[in-house]
Amino acid sequence: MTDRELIAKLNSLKIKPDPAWKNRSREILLSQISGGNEISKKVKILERLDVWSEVFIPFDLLHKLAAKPVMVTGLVIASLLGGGVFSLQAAKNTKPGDSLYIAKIVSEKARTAITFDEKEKAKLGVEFAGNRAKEMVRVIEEEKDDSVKNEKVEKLAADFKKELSGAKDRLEKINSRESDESENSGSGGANGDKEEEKTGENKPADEVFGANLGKDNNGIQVSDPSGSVTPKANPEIKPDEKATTTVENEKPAEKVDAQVKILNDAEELFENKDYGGAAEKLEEIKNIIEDKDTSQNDSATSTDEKVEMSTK
Amino acid sequence: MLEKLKEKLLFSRLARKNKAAFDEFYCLYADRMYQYIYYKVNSKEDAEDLTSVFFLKIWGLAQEGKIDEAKTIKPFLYTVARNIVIDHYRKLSQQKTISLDLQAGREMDAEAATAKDFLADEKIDLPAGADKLFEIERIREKLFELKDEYREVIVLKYLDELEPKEIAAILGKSKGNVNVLAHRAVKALRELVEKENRIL
Repeated sequence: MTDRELIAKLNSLKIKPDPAWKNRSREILLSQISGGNEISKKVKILERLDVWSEVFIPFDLLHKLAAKPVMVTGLVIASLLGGGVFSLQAAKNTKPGDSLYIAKIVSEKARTAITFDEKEKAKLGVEFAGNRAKEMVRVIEEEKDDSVKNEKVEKLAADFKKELSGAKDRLEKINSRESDESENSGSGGANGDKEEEKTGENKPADEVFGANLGKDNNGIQVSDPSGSVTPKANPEIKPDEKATTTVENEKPAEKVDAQVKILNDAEELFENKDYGGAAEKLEEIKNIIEDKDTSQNDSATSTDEKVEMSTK
Repeated sequence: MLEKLKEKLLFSRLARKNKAAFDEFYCLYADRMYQYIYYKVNSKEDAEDLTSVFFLKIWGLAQEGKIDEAKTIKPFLYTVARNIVIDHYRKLSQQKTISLDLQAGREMDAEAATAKDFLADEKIDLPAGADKLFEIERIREKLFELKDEYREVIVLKYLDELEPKEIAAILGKSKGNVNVLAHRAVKALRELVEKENRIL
């Protein structure tokens, strides 16, 4: 065989996607970019209306067809079956093998693709791992063909592990980054404080947060190394400050431990075939991540308030 | 020439976040990008998922105003697809457990689907087309045995039919290097196929 002959044959290697997938994917993508996702929120309303009329022309067509109930019903059914925003809702409780399952998976991948915040991505990973666990319960209960069931179970198990390990990595990265940042910002504050340099105090890193808060109006350090605040400087903020310092000190180690422990528990339950239990555990960790966000926001607010108070 | 102008106009509308243009863009590029991604990942399911991710990524870039209309279209698109595949492999490498059986099953599915498509496209009956089909499948199999660099240049040049300067932009090489690489890739593939023929 010559190179020329081989090149001629290479032309036969061209492949095309499955037309059914291509159509389905097109509808899902259009609904993704037109529906209530993060990308489309940025699109101006005017343009959205314009595009709806361009892509989903049926609006004015609908008026013409209004007198033909059968056709209108058919159109609605087609839109429900064929995709779009409705199908994504309908796809929510699907399992592998269901016709709309692909919509669910593409939607998950799309959500990951358009999420840039690592914390949000970790939450999504936990949510999707939970989805796989729930699907596993349904596949085991409902699938009758053993070979199909085994194949689906194997795929779901691999996907579950993939999502879970991704979420674990992200959580660990976020926590190590946060602890690095808190150390850096703390030491930066101490370095930038000339008054403190003058006093010659060299405070440990875990007490720097308290040092930043515990300054009086002249910027003089008023907290002692044990973290307690000198009463005469600002007595009313002492208890709050102590609490905040404690939360900050607990942060890196306990956060990682608690979150990773629950994820490991979920993994263990999954491996022991308690898929429902694993799904519940994942729901728990998702809530913890969300709570953590809220508590961080709260503590940030209270810190601001305290700084404001102390400068009055 | 007219086709290129039309593509340029379409790309320009897409860059301005026109959703109708996105629809046209999908219809125009879905087959091409699917094929490119398939030959990178060797899995029908992954190729389908990653092709969808590719189109969403392009839309996301349009939303962020990161599509430069002055850029040459194809190299830009293929580079985005290439990076998506790289990310995919990065994630896979983090995944500790991969079911080999499942992977083999996927490959068999893809081959069976391709064979079916081929028969449908060529409209040949099995006895007459079987030899040809067998040979094509053998070439495809050997294509996946080539090193990534060779396989990619073959796909870009002979399957996607890109021009050498476009391939050069995608691979970050000079036009001359691309021609040399393509020549070596075809030679390597021919040798693999011939070796297999001798064994059989």
